[in-house]
Formats: sequence, structure tokens, C-alpha cells
Amino acid sequence: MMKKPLSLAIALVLILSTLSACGGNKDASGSKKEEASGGDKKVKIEFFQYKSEAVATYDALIKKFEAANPGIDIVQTNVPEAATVLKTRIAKGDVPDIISVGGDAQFEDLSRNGVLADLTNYPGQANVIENYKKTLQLITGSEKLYGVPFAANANGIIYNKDEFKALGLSVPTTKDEMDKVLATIKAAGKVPFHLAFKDAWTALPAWNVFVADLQPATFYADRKAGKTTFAAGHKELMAQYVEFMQNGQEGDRFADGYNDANAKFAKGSSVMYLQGVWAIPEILKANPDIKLGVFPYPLTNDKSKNFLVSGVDVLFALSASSKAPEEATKFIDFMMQTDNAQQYINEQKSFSAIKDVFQNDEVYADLKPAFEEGRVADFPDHYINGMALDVIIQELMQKKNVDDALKKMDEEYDKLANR
Amino acid sequence: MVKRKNMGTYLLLVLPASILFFIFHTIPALMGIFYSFTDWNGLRPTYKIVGFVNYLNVFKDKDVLGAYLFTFKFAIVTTILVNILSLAIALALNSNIKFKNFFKGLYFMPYILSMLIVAYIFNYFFANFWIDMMGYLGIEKWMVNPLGNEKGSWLAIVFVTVWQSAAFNTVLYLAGLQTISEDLYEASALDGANKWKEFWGITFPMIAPFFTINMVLSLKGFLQVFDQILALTGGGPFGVTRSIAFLIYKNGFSGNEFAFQSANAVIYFVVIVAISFIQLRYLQKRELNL
Amino acid sequence: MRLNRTNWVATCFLIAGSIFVLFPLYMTFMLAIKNNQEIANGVLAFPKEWRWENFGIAADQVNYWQKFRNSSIITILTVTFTLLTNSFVAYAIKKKFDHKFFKGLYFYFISAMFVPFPIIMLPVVKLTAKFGLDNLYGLIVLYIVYGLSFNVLLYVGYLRSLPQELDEAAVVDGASVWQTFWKIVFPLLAPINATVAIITTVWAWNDFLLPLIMLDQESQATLPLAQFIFQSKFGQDTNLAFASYLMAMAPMLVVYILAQKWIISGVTRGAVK
Repeated sequence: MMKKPLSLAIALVLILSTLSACGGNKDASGSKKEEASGGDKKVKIEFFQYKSEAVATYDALIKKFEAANPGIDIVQTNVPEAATVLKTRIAKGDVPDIISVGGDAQFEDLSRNGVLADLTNYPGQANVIENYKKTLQLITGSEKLYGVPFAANANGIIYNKDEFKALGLSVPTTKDEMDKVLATIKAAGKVPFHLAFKDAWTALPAWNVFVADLQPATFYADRKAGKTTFAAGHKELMAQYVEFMQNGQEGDRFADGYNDANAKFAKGSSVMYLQGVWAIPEILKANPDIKLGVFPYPLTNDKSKNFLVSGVDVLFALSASSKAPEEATKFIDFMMQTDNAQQYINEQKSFSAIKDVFQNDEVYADLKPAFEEGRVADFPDHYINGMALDVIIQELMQKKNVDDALKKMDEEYDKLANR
Repeated sequence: MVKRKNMGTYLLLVLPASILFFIFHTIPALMGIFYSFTDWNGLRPTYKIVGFVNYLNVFKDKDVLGAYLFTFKFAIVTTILVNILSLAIALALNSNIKFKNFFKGLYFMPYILSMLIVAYIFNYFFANFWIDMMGYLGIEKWMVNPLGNEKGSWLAIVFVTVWQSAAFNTVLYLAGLQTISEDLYEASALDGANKWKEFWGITFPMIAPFFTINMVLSLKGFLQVFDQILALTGGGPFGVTRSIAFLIYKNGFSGNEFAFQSANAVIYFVVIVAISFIQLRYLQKRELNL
Repeated sequence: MRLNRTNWVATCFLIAGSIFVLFPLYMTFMLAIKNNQEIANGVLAFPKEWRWENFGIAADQVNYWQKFRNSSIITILTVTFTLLTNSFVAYAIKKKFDHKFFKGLYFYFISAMFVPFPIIMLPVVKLTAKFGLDNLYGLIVLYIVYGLSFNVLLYVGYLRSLPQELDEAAVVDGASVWQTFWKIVFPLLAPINATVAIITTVWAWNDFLLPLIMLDQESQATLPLAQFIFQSKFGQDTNLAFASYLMAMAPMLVVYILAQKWIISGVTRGAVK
């Protein structure tokens, strides 16, 4: 007589498997978790960070932190398409405890929508260079600080020092000098820039400098007020930008993506490379012997207007819904300690947002004047929220139709403003 | 009497699965329809109902339009190519050949491989071999990485999809061909029919049902293309290879367009239902004829 | 007379096509087995140095055995429960087809096949998270449930082709529905069970989109998802990336080579029904 009991059993198995899954999930969720390991309770903190270049650096620092704090287990999460994955998780209400992003439009989204905790009164803010805090406030349009700036980047032109020496070149500081450098390189049968437009965003670093150096000072405010358009305000600089970007390798410039280009530049495919300093660790990984330098884009003959574009590359933010904010803060405290911040910028070749932590790598010798004179500007694209700028610029690189690109930018801008 | 008595048992056994199906399939679909009428961006804890605003915006959105055009172009071309190729392979496999079992096993193999990984492998192929190959063949115009090329990228995606998907259809066609009795051919051979006539006169009508099934299944699958796009182009260059599924995933989650893309998904749903309806009617007609 | 002559045109066509099918796999293997220096010198040549350790290093990097375990758990549980539950649902529907509810259920499941996944994609993420099911086990539930549509179609089609008297005789003998199904009907379903098992295995093992949106812990990732997650980590180490691809495909390839005939005939049966 096994009819009903067994028939019930199969229904039960399905339901049970559902239930056991519910139970099993607890150890999968990113929030506070108490796991019994050798009798001790450990608090699990998920650290979501978007920089694939920095995974190993963080791994080492996490190990050090965990040794000092045996009660806390930091789990680093780094995935491709980090922005999409992070937002997927927010949509389902599974927010990582610590979120590390750059100071950009994504950060604005997160802070505006109440995802992040208010860190204005976080004691560590006192050690952060004022300018970077201001940058965050400008991005979010709020007086409150929803993150602690940790590291900054610089967006200049990376060059191969040995190649410069062989060609008898010195670092250009004006547009005229830059033109001469480009002419010399081409005359020697070499390639000025190795371009990698297969990834849409790789044309953006240079675009940002053209906008920062050449756009009218009040452009964004005017655009918001409807007093100007991209078609009017950006036309001149866009034409110059397109012309500048023609100094690439022969053949297909859409063949390589970011990773390929890093490796190829490292092997000497071009003399210069239009990427921010974040690419330097990757280039060195591909060729540890290469001697690199970085200089600010010399786009005008007025040296005071040739800005070094620098933004908040890494900031730490706390989830507003974290169940273990104390433990998470402890980890941020740890990262902000001078020795750890120093270790981070040494390995990542970036700049610290923390007072008295300096980047002394000789790679950056040419950037010193810009930093000392305060010739530093933030990334303009961080202020155009949600616009698919990379796609528009990538299309521009292919079709070289400036008017069309500017029209699209105006359309996108209006579309987002109206939505 | 017996039937009545067992009714409860049947119900008891069908209900759990049906309820789970309702919860995990129907409810999300209804939720999607609901969100399409809100302004939820996927991040904020709150949202309000906004009516048909999202739908109006979907119709005005160039990205969405581009994704539809790409997806249908891709699905139709791939469906046709996959079916021609797999029918040709099936015909060859069904004829008198050497190493029949080896070939059968080989040609079905791509079916068991992950589309994503196959696409990663071809990604390398296009970035490294293609240009050299075209140089060797002397086709200078094509000496570019097709994945970064406005005109080439969608064809590269078609190519990879055909490589992976033709296997399954081949087996279906082969199954169809094996149902045809030799006698039919014997008769026509005596009549002196040539191969071409034989195919259209005997073979094709006999496997027509398989042809229909293949067309329906292929089209339905290819309209939902996602994995290979992510692994090959990421929707690029400049968004020309964004499929509908890719756009909904990408912009729905990361572009703060949860509600907007839900509206897009609902419209997509209506389109698919319309297409399926036409195909189903066609199928039923066919079944009546058999 | 047709039977005896070898069709050389077809044979040649198939040989040429085999190169086409095998080339990507050959390339994958060559990339996986070399060091990066030798890759730069030429991908297709046999390596001077066979670097088998690439597989070990790649396995460490992606934590291969953990991912293998995840994929195996998902696939095995999905297939087992799919066979046990979906077949019975189909049986009940077929037996009671003249009853409105069951007939309606049949068309409900079938019509769900035409609901495109994207419309479910965004909300199901929210829904499963609410139930705490955004993990391996939730994924299994979704596979079993989503499989219903197609499998019911297959099972009902197959059941209709079976002689009706067998189980009715059993019912008359006083056996319960339950006993009849397991003792008489289920064994008869063996061929179509094989078909469902194969299709479900291939689907659950290779699926990417559902794990991508459902699983957010790297430790729970399936093998295909792991290849995506580790793209950036492989960076310029082409050989490790390809060693990892090869290992991700290997389990299915091995199963396929061992059970090739059975798999092909299983899928064929699904087609004929």
C-alpha cells in the first residue's frame, strides 16, 4: 500500500528541495554571515571592486587584514561587466557590504538612489586630500560624501622612453612640439599610437582631455540651461580630436581590444599609447623591461591650459543596508592606513587620495610640474550621466563624421533629461 | 468510476509542479508587465506607476529599433544558413559513405559544447587568424578583425552560431531522411529521375515536417541570441550587434532602465507570440495534411 | 544497386567539413599546451615543449574542481528531478486529457514555450532573491520548472504512441495510479527518458544566461560562467585561458565520446516523435 504516501513523497521532495535551498542560501548571501570554523564565529564581509588590474594587490592586503582580524572574513568580488553585475545585485536587494567604484556616473547613480551609506562623518575623511572630496561632491551634486576617495588616476600620454631616446625626442609640452614629435616618429617609419577601438571605451581617455582642455569653461552649465548644444560648443575640439586620433597604426584599428593593445604596446608596436596610468601595470606585466613615462597631453601652445586629467579612480563606499557596517568600516580603516595605501599605489602605479602618501615612481617624473602647478582637471565624461558616450565616440572613430556624432550626443542628452 | 476515484491522485501529482511553474514562470512574466508601467530604475527602493510612458519611449528609442533590426536580420539569416547546411550534411551522411559513424559523431559534436566557450574560441580565431588568412587569399578588403567591424561583426556572429547550431538540426534531418523507404528511390531510379529532381520530388516532401520543425525551433532560438554576443562583440562596434535579449540584460540592469526595458520585453513578447501564432497555424495545417 | 557504390562526392564533402569542425578544437588544444612565447611564433605547429602544467595552473586559477562540482550538482539534480517529475506530469495530463483542467494545463505549458526569456529575466532575479533562491538550488528549481514546457510536449507525444491497454489493464487489476505509473508506464518511457535526459543535460551544463543573473558568488559559479568571470584574470595569458576552456568542455566531450551512439539516437528519437 504505497500509493498515497509515495505520491506525497515526490511532491514533498520538490518542496523540500526548495526549502533546503532557502536554508542553503544563507551561506551564499553577501551580507553578514556567521560561520562556525573551529568554534569561532567569523563575520563575512563582501568587498566588491571593479578593477581587474588590482585583484592580486587586494588579495595580499586582505590576507594581511585577516591575519590581524581573525574574526572577519573579507571576500573580494571582481567580475567582468562589473557595473551590470553590481546593479543586478542591487535590483534584487543583495548589496555587497563594501563597494569600490571610481568617481564616475555609476557612483552618482548609487549615491542618488540611496544604495550607499552617508560617510560624511567618517573619521577617515580627515586624511583625504580636500580636492578629491570636492570631486565626489560635484559628481553626486550633494554636500554629503557617499564614499571615501582612496586612489586617483592620471590620464596622460604613455610613452616608450627607449624609443624616444632612439629617435632623439624629448617630452613635448606644447602643441607645436607635439606635432614635431608626431612627424619625427612617422618619418622614422614608426607608429605614434597603437589604437584599440574594438573596445568602445578605449577612445575615451583622449576625448576627455580634449574636452577638459578645449571646451568653453561654462559649457556643462550652459548645456543644462539649454543655452548651447554639443553641436555648437564641441564642434571645434571634436574636429581636432578626430585629426589627432589619425596617428594610429596602419590597417585595422578595430582589430584589438584593451588587453591586446596593452600587450602589443609593451612589445613595441607604437612609440606612444593613449591610455590612463591604469594600463601601466598591465603593460609591465607583458614586458617587465619596458621603460615607460607619462606626460600630459600638449593640446595647446599655452602651457597653462594643458591639463592633466585626473579623477578618483578608487573610492570605498558602504552599503546602506550592510548588516555588519562596523566590520566593513574596519577594513576601510585598514586600507586607509599609510603603509597599505602606499603599497596599493606602488603596485597599481596610481596616486593616493590620502595626505602624505606620495607616488614616487620614476615613470611619473614628467607629471610632476602639472601636479605642482595644480594643472589638474577632472574627467568631463563623469558629468554626463548615463550617456552611451563610448558607443558614439567609437562610431566617430570609424566614420569620422563629427556632425553626426555631436548630433547623437545632443539627442542622447535630451533623451535622458526628458526621461 | 475508476477515473473519478483517481482524480485526486492525479491532481496531487500535477499540482506541485504546476504551482512552481506558475510561481517561477508566469508570475515573473506578470511582474515584468507590471514594472513596464512604472518608473522603477532598478536601484531606488520606491517607484510609481506612470502608465504608457515607457512604451511611448520604446517606440522612439533608436537603440531598441536597432536591436530589433539586428536580431531579426541575424535570426532569419542564421536560420536559413543553418537549415541549408544541416540538410546538406544530413543528405551526405545518409548516403553511402565511408566512416559513417565517425562522421555522424563528429558532426553532432558541436551540439554538446557551450555556446559561450565556442564563441570565446572563435573570438581568438577572428582576432588572430582571420587577418592572416585573408592576406594569404589576397582579399585585402577583408583584412580586418570582423568583430570590430561595422559590416563584418554580425556575419562573424552568424558564422559562429552556424558552426555550433547546425549539429542539432543535422540530427533532426537525418532522423527524417531515415524514415524514407528505399523503395521510393528504387522506383524513381527506374524512371530515370536525376538527383536534383529526386531530391525535390521525393526527399524534400518526405522530410517537410522536419523542415518545418527545424525552421520553427531555429528561429525561436536565434531570436533570443545572447551568449555569443557577449563573448564575441559585447554588442559592439558602436552597438550594431546588440540583440534584444542583450539590450534588455545590459540596459535593464546597468543602464537604470529596468522599467523601460520591461516595456521593451513586453513588446518583444507580443512580437514573438504573433510569430509563433502564425507558425503554429502553419504547423496545424501541416498536421492535418499528413 | 544504390547500396553498393560508395558516394565519394558526399564522402569528400564530409571530409572537407570535418576540417571545419575540428579546426577550432585543434587550435584550442595547441593554444592550451604551449607557452606564450611559442604561441607568438605560431599557433598551429606542434609545440617544442608540451606544457601540461598549463592545465594545473589554469585549474588553480579558476578553482576548477569547485566549478566542476557546481556544474555537476546542477546537472545531476536537474536531470534526475526532471525525469521523475516531468514524466509524471505528462502522464497525468495525457490520462486526463478529456478533463478540462488537464487539457488546459497542457496548453498552458505548451504556450509558455513561446514566452521569450527576456521578459522573465529581470523580474525572476528579484523574485528568486526574495525567496532566498538566488543560488545553485534555485537554479536547479528553475531548470526543472522551465523544462516542463518542452518535456511535457515530448512525453505526451510519446505516451500517445504507446498502446493504451497496458496501463488500463493494470488499473483494472487494482493497482493504484502510482504503482501503475512506476511499474508499467515509467519503464516504457525509457527511450523518451533518454532523450529528455540528454537534452536537459546539455542545457543545464552549458547554460550561461541563467547562472549569470542568478549566481553572484564566484564560489557557486558553473563552468561556463567561470570562463566569463575569469576573462579579466587571464588577461594576456592566452594559454591558460584556453587550457581552462578545454577543461570546461572536457567532461561533456568525454561523456559524448563514450556514449556517442546512444546520445545521437536519443536525440533522433525526440525528433521523430
